[in-house]
Amino acid sequence: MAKPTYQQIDGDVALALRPPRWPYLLAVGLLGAGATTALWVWVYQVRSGMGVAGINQPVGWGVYIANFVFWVGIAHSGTLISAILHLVRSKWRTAVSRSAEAMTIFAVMTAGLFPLIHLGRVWVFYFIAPYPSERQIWPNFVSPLVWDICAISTYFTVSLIFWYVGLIPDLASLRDRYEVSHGRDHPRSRFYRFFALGWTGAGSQWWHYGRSYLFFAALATPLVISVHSVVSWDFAMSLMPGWHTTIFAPYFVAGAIHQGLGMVLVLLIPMRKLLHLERLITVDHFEAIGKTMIVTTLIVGYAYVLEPWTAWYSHDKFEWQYAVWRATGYMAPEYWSLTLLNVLVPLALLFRRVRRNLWWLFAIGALVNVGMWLERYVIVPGGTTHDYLPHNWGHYTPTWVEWTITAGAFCWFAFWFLCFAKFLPTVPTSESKAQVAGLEHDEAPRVSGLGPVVSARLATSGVVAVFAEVEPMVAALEKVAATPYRRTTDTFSPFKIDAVPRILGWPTSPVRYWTLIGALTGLTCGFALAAGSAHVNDLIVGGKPWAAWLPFCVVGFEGTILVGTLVNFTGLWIHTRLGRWKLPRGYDRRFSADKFAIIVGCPPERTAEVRALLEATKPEETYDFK
Amino acid sequence: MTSNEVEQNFTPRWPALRAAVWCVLIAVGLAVWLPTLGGDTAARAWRGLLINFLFFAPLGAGLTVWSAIVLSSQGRWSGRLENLTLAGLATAPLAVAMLIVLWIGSASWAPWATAKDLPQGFWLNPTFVFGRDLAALVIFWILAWAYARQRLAGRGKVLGGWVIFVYVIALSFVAYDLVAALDVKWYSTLWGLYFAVTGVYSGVALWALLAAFVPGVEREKLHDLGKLMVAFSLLTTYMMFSQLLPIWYANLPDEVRMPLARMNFPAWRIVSTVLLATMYLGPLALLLTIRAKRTPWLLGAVAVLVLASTWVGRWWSVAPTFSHKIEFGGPEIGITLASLGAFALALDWYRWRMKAEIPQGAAEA
Repeated sequence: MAKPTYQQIDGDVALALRPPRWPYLLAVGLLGAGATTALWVWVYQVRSGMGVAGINQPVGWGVYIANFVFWVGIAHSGTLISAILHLVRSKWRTAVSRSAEAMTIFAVMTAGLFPLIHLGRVWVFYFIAPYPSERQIWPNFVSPLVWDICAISTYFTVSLIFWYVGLIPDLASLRDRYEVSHGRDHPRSRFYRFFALGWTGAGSQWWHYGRSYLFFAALATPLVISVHSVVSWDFAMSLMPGWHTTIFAPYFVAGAIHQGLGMVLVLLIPMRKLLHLERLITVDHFEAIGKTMIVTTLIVGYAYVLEPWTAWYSHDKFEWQYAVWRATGYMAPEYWSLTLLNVLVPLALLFRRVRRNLWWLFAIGALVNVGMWLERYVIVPGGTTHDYLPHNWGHYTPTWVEWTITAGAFCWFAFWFLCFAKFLPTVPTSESKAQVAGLEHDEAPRVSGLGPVVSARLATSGVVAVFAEVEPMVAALEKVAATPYRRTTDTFSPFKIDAVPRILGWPTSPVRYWTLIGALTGLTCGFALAAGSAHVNDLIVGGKPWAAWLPFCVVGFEGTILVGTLVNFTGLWIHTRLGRWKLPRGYDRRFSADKFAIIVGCPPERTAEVRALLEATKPEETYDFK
Repeated sequence: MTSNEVEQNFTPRWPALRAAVWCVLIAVGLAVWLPTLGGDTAARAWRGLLINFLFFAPLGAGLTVWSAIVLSSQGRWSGRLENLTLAGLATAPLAVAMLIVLWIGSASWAPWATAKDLPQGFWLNPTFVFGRDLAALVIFWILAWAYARQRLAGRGKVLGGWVIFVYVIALSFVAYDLVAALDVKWYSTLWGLYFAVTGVYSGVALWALLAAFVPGVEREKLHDLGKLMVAFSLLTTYMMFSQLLPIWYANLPDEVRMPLARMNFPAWRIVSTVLLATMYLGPLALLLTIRAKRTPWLLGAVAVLVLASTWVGRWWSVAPTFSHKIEFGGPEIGITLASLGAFALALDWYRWRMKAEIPQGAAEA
C-alpha cells in the first residue's frame, strides 16, 4: 500500500471525528445504561451488605478481585506498546499506540473500581492513605495491598500524562483545523485549543519534547512491568498453595501483555473499519501484534508447564494436592479451558495466513481474553477454595450481583472507549507524518553550544520562510545556521525533526536534569515514607522487622517513577512554555498540518536582509511579521 | 563484500600472539587444576568446572541467540556488528565437552548422583539428568548452526524464533538440574527463566566487548549496545528481586535456605552486596550518560565488569550450598583460566575463519 500524504493523514483522522450518527449514539446509550445498571446493583450491595455477593468462608476473594486483576492486565499493553516500542524505535507502534494508551487509561479506571466494590464499606477507603490520623496508625508498607495502591495510582497518573503528552501536537493540529473550518468559538475549537496548551510545533519545543517523551517512555517501561508484578505479589506473598510461587511476577506480566494485545485486536479491528482508518492502520500492524502474541503465548505456556512441575518436584504435598485438584476438581473445566484458550488457540498465529486474516485475529483476541479472565477466576477464588486444611475446603459460585457488576464493568470500559474514538485522534497524526517523511533517527550527543537566545517563535518581529517538504527546509536551515542569525532562528513543523537542534547547535535538552532530580527525589521520598511510617508504628507484623528494606524497595521504586514523571512534565511545561494559549506572531496554522517553516527573529530594520537570505534558500513563500 | 573487507573489519589483530596467549592460559590453567582433582580439593575442583560450565555455556549460547533476537524483533540497528554474535557458535564444542566431563565426574560433585531414595526419584537419575541436558544443548546448537547458515543467506526468521525458544528450554534444564538440584530440597519456579535471562545478559555484554574493539565501529551502534546492557541489567535485577521477595516474605524453610546461605553468612553477604553493585545495578549507574555508552573503552570496561560479576554470580549460586566460608584458590582459578583460554580461542578461531557476512537489509527480507 502506498504511503499516505500528510493531508490524507489529517483527513482520515478528521473524518473519524465527524459528528456522531444514531448507531454510535445508540451504542453509547446502551453501554451507559449497562454501566448505570451495574451502579444500581452496587448500591444495592452496599445497602444490603456483602452477603449478596457469593464470597463467604473460605473464599474471601471472589470475582471482584479476579476482575481487578483482569482489568489491570488489560491496562498493560497500552503503555507497553507505546513505551517499550518507542524505546526500541519500532515502527508498527505508531498506528496502534494511541488507542492502546487510551485502552490503558480506561482499563485502569475500571480496575480501580473493583477493590472499592470488594471493600464493602467503601466509605472507609481512605484508611489506606498515609496521613497522621486520630487512629495513630500508618499504613503498613510491608503489605502488598499498600504496594497495590502505590502501583496502581502511579500507573494511572503516569499513563495519563504519557497519553496526554503524546496527544498535545495532535490536539494543536485539530485546534488549527477546527478554528479554520468551524471558527474559534465552536465548542470543539475551544476544547482542542484549551488542551493543546498553545503548542506550535516550534523546533525549540520539539527539542525538549523529544527528550521528555523519551524519558516518559523510559520511566513507563519498568512501571508497566512493576504494576502487574505488584498485583501478582498480592497472591505470591501469601502461603496459599497455588498462590505462593516465585514465577508469579513475570508470569502475570506476560499474561497481562498477552491479554492486552488480544484486547487491542478486539478494539482496533472494528474501530479501523467503522472509522475508515484502513490507510493508517494496516494489516501489517495487526500481523506485528500477532507475532508479539506468539512470544507471550510461549511465555505463558512455559509458566503453565512449570507450575505443576514445580509442585511435583518440590514434593510439597500441599502444593501437589492443589495442582491435582485444579486439574481434576470442580474448577477443572475452567482450568483446561484457559489452557486451551491462552496457549493452544493463539498458537494458530504461527501461520502467516491466520496473522493476516482480521476475522481470525479478532476471534483469537476475544478468545484469549476469555481465557485470561478464566485464568484469574481459577487463581483468585480457586486458591482460597482449596487450601491446607481439608475441613476448610469449599465451593464458590458468583451471584447475580457479581455477574451484573462484572458485565457493567465491560460496558463502562467500552463506553469510555467509544467516547474517546469520537472526540480525540485515535491515530497519532504527528508520528504518522514523521513516519511518512521517513527521517532517520539522529541521536548524536550535543554537549556543547547554547540554546536559542530568545526563541525566534516568541520574537516580536522577523521573517518566515515556508517549505512544502522537510528536506528542503533542513537544507535551508543548514545555510541559515552558517550566518550570524543562527541564534535567533527556529523552525515550525508538524512533527519532530531530529536534525534541527544539531544544525542550530543546541545542546541536549536540560529536561534530563529535571527527570533525574525528580527520580532521585521520588526514590528518597518513597523509602522515607515507608521507613518513617514503619518507625512510627514500630510493630512487628508477620515476623518482619519494622525496617524491612526489601519490600520498601517497591515503594521507593514507585516513588521514583511517579515523581520522576511529574517533574519531567514540569520541566517540559516550563521549557516549552506551555500554557500560553495565544499563538506567536510568526505562526501559521498550516505548520501543524503539512508545511514546514524557518523563522528568523530580527529587528524590523533588518527584515529585508533576512528575507533576502531566506529567499536564497528557495522556499515556497516568505513573509514578515511584527 | 569481499573476504578481504571482512577480515579488515572483524579479524582480530595479532592472531599468532593471541593464539599463543590463549594456549598458554589453557596450559597453565590445566596444570593448576588437574592436580587438584585428587585429595581433599577434588569436590571443589569439580565444582570449579561446573561453575565455568554454568558461565561459559550460557555465555556462548547467549551471544549466538542475540542474532535471532535482533532478527525476530525486526531490529536493523546492529548492522554489520550482528556478525560478531555468530562467533558464539564456535564455543559449542567447548560447552558440550565440559558437560560430558561433568557427567563423567558427577559422582564427585553432584549430591544427587550418589544419594539414595530422593523424593524426585527418576528425575534426578544421573543418566536421565545428563542425557536430557546434553540432548537439550545439542539440539540448541544444531538449531543455532542451521539458523546461522540461513542468516548468512539473508533468511532465518522462523528458525530464529525456534532458536530463542529452545535456548530458554535448554537453559532452564541446566538451571534446575545443575544448580538448583545441588540442594535437592530447594525449589523456585522462576529459577530457570532467571538463569536464561542472565545468559542473554552476559551475551550482550560480550557482544558489546567484542564490538568495542572493532576498528572504526560506529558510535551509534555502541550506544544501542550500551542501552541494551542497561535494559538487561534491569531485567536481571527484576528477575532476581521477583524471586527473592516472595521467598523472603513467606520464609518457608525449603525455599529460604537458598538466600539464607547467601545473605546471612557474613562472607557471602559481602559477595552478595558486590553482586548487587556490579552485576545488577552497575550498568545503570555507569552507563547513565550518552557519552559513556558511546565511548568504546568505557563501554568495554563496563562489559568486562558485567562478565566478571556474572562469573562471580555463578560461583555464588554454587559454592555457598556447600560451605559457609569462602573457599577460593587453585581448584577454581585453574579451571577458570583454562576455560577462558579455550573460550577466547574459539571466538578468535571463528573470526579468523569468517569468510562471509550477514547480508545487510536481510532483516526486511
